[in-house]
Amino acid sequence: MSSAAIVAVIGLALAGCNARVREERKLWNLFGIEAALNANGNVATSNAIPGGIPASDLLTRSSTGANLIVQRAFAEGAPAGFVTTEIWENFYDSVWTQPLYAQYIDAGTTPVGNAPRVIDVGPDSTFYSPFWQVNVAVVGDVAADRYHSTAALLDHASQIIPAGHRTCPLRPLDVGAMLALPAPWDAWNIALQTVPQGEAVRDNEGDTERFGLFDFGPNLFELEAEEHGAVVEASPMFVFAKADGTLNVDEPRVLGAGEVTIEASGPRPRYGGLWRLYKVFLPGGAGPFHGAEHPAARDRAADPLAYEGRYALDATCFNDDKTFPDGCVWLDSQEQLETVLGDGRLEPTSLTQTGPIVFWQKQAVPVNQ
Amino acid sequence: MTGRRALATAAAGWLTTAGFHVARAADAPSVPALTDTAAAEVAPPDEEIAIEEPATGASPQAAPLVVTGYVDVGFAKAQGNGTSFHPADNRSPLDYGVDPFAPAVNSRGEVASTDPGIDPNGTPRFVNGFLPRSAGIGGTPSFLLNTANVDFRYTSAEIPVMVFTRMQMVPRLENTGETTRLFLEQAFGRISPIKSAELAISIGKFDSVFGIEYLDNQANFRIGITPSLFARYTTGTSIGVKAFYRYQIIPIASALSLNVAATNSGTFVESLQGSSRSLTGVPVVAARVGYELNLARLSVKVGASAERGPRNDQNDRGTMQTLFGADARVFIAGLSLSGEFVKVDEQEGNPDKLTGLGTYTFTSDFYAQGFWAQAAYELPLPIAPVRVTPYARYERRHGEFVSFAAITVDRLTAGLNVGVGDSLIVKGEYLINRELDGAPTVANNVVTSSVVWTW
Repeated sequence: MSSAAIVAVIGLALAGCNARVREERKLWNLFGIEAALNANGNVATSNAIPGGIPASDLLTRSSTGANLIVQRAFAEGAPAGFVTTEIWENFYDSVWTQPLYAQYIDAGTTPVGNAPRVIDVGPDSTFYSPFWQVNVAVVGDVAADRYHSTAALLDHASQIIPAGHRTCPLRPLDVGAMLALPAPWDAWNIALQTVPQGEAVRDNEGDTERFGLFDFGPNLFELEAEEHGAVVEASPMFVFAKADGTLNVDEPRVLGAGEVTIEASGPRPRYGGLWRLYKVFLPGGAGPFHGAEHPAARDRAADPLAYEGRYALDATCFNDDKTFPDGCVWLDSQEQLETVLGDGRLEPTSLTQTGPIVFWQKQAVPVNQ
Repeated sequence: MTGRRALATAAAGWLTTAGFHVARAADAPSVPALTDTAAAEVAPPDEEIAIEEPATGASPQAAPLVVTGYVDVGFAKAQGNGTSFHPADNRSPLDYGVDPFAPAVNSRGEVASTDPGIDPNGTPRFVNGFLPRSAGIGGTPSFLLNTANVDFRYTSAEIPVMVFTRMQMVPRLENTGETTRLFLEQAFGRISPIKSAELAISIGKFDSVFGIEYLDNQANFRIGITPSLFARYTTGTSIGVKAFYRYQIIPIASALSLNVAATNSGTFVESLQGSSRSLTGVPVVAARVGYELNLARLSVKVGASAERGPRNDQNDRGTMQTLFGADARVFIAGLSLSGEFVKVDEQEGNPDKLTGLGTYTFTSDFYAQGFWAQAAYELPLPIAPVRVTPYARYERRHGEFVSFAAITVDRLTAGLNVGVGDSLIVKGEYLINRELDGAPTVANNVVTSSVVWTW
């Protein structure tokens, strides 16, 4: 081979070496989370959480399959609880709504008995979404299993009536949602609402796939118009960083602020469908309160469990049993984090997640209203 | 079959025996021989170039620079709003659950419209770059200047080298105003290094080597007007290196051929994958092996194609696209039968998808397969120089973006091609598009016509 040819070959090889490689983008929904649970594995492995989150932090095994676990947080200075049904890595501004059809005999008053919801985009798709544009498809008095694709409904329904948005994560049929507060808040003995469940079907090349779904109700998210259509807007969820810079997912998180409506059955946060995780870099001396480590402070507090896992700017306040808890500067709301720490210590991560709020201010949140 | 097409094919018919194609060429009206030959040579299929371009190099009689071209003017009307999008379909992305390429209106594969419309909230519905170019006429009938094409062909007198450039101008009235797109469709040099062998090596931007439909890319060579539903995968031009070799087996009136290319983007059309630079640094390799039998009254050509390499709408070199195809053509007594089977598999790649139409979000796992079959018959009418060729094509395509709705569509195309001499072709056709499974039914049939002036 001539020297010119060798140079040419090396040049082409070097050009190839500059090529780009895979950029990780992952979605863990309840199908992936349950699979990880069964394999005793982790989910959300990413730069932000290199080791990931044990699936057993999100789902617990039950006699019939698995059950959602309520995770602790603080929102607006009060204890809160949420459940995680999806986690996305590198999907920021890239979660869209998808259409879901409820079959009705007539224009919105009489559903087709036992007919499942009809969807087209399944849990394995990059474009899977737990955020649905609900439509009423008026199909007449038909058998419940007659339609199982949106194309068939668009072809045959006499009317398609938009019916708002709902947050309804798809689930394996054996995953349930008998919600209960986690330790140590379980000592409060506050009963949480069971999340309503349903079923959805999609056509997969002639085969009908059946899925379960949870219905967390309407108005848990807002859409923002982007160049690539209307995407679900994420609220910030703050996770405190460990000393090594990775996220400490063992302590309660802080939920960003949003609209809350007061229902007859309790306060109802009208947000929390989609969160973007922010990493909180703590200054030296900050840390979470644990009553077992500070019994004097714990005994002084009227409700010490309400402070369990709550971060303070200066953890030495836990030692002052005269002023605890009012003497502490708590990092327990978005406003506190932004004003006390400043934006420079709040860094967005590549992770977004679903996280409907099911508990707040020591009350069960009415999840489906 | 048009006279010009017949002439090209005749030139390509590897033995100048008294066969059908040669007879047609002989019947063609007299035109300046050198110019006509050149015109027939520049557009013809690359698989046939070795014959058109004798290994002995340039013809001493040929002018070194030949300029030819054509103008394709059409009139088209699509049903509905000119798209395949159902007005109540709000799936995201909208273009994943239908076939946006179905309502084609011209030989470029442009459709009447790709306007996604708006959702119930008034926001434009989301599409993700699985789109053709649009003529922008929607459901409104309109004249279109489909293509104004100019070819420059230079043949060296000293060495067996040919240099070819094809430029196309496409005027369109966009929503932002009047504009004329300029496409450098082809630009390559070709050398035939061995006098005694039909071997040609091309470097530059050139035609696809996959299957047979690329042979009909240009309006003045296509019997019908619109490309098939598979043209999007197999007919795109790209930049790289190509080698063509044909071995003739004269005792059995046969030939074997091999056409291999390594290019930036493979054979997808530019609206799906741009070709002007490699996003991965690794070329896409495509190849076709062919066999042809050329008897006095019968010509049979069959081939098998394959393609593999990183998809060039993203930058992960490990994300592969793989295509397989099989094709056949039979010419007998004025009847032309042709068909192709194509199978496509694209892996999911990196986000920030980049196509000839712009940037989009994700690249998705995608599968498609199907076939097209076409019959054309040149009526034996004693009305030279007029040639009348009715034709029909049926095609069926199955496609799926993983875990999105899998769709099956088919299309029946019927039309009439009337050629007058070598400079005029008038064509009209009707496309019946049907959504068989997975995609909502929409009114997206098309009636279109084309007048091709060749110079």
